[in-house]
Amino acid sequence: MLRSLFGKQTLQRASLAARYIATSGKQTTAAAATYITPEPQFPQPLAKPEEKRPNVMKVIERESVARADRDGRSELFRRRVAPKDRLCAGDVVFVETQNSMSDPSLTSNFTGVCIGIYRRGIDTSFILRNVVNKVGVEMRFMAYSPLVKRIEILQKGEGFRRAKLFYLRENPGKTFQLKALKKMAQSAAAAKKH
Amino acid sequence: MKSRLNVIDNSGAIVAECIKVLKNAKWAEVGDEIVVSVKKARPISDKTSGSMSAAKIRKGDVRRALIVRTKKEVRRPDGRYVRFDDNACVLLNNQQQPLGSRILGLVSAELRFKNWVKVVSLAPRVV
Repeated sequence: MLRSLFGKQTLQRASLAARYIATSGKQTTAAAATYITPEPQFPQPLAKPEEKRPNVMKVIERESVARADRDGRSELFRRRVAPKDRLCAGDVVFVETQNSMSDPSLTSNFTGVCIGIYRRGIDTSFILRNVVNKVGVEMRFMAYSPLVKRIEILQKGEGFRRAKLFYLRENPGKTFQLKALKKMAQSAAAAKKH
Repeated sequence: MKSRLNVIDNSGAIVAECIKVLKNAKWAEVGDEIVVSVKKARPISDKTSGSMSAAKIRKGDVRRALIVRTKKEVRRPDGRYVRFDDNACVLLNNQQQPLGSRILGLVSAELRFKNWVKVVSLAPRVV
């Protein structure tokens, strides 16, 4: 009766999907052989050795970050990394973004001081602030977005003792006098093109 | 109190107050047309009246305007958010053409997505 309701194809696909989620590679039925099941990307779940019963959501988070981490940018957002290698609030950062997925060569750049990092696994984001044409502009980038081509730290920040530098909106001091870094940003933009 | 915006073209107005949002919504975003009342305008002297052929904007004028920058962050389809330090607009005439001949300052790139081609081309910088 179920077969007549849902149709043969749907049932077979459903049973195959159940098998795929179970991560077992065995395909016993002849019908299953006609579908191409991709190899699981992580044959063993990414769990730490000390996790006896790894939390499914944590494993999924780690795997999705590992999949999205094409050029090693996750090192910028890990906490247990030396301050000189990771992104900190106060660093001057250059980000190159693709404007659309259809045309990879159309890019736009943004340079700014990082005023906040939000570490949320795959949804990790950071806010860059700069003063452009006398107007303060803040841009929040999703770190693992495929449209974000490059994240480069142009200069490490010194003397910032907070995780979120929202006070810079009212009291910028000399933080946004980044004229010297304009040249660094331009060379960073030009470097990848060559 | 209604929202006040800086006017960043050379029409003569300096500060405008939003009195109507011209779409079926409570709030207008970057790239939306609104009706504004000019709250502060540059004094019109007899010297400038000869050179400018455009309409003179006085305090109290009710005009249409286009929002070009907002302090409230706007989401781009790729997940980026952009926020500026102030709210700014550009005055328009009833045919959706900018009243001023120049735009002084930054505008948001959302204008390009909402087809405000003339304003984007006049702007010195688009972010």
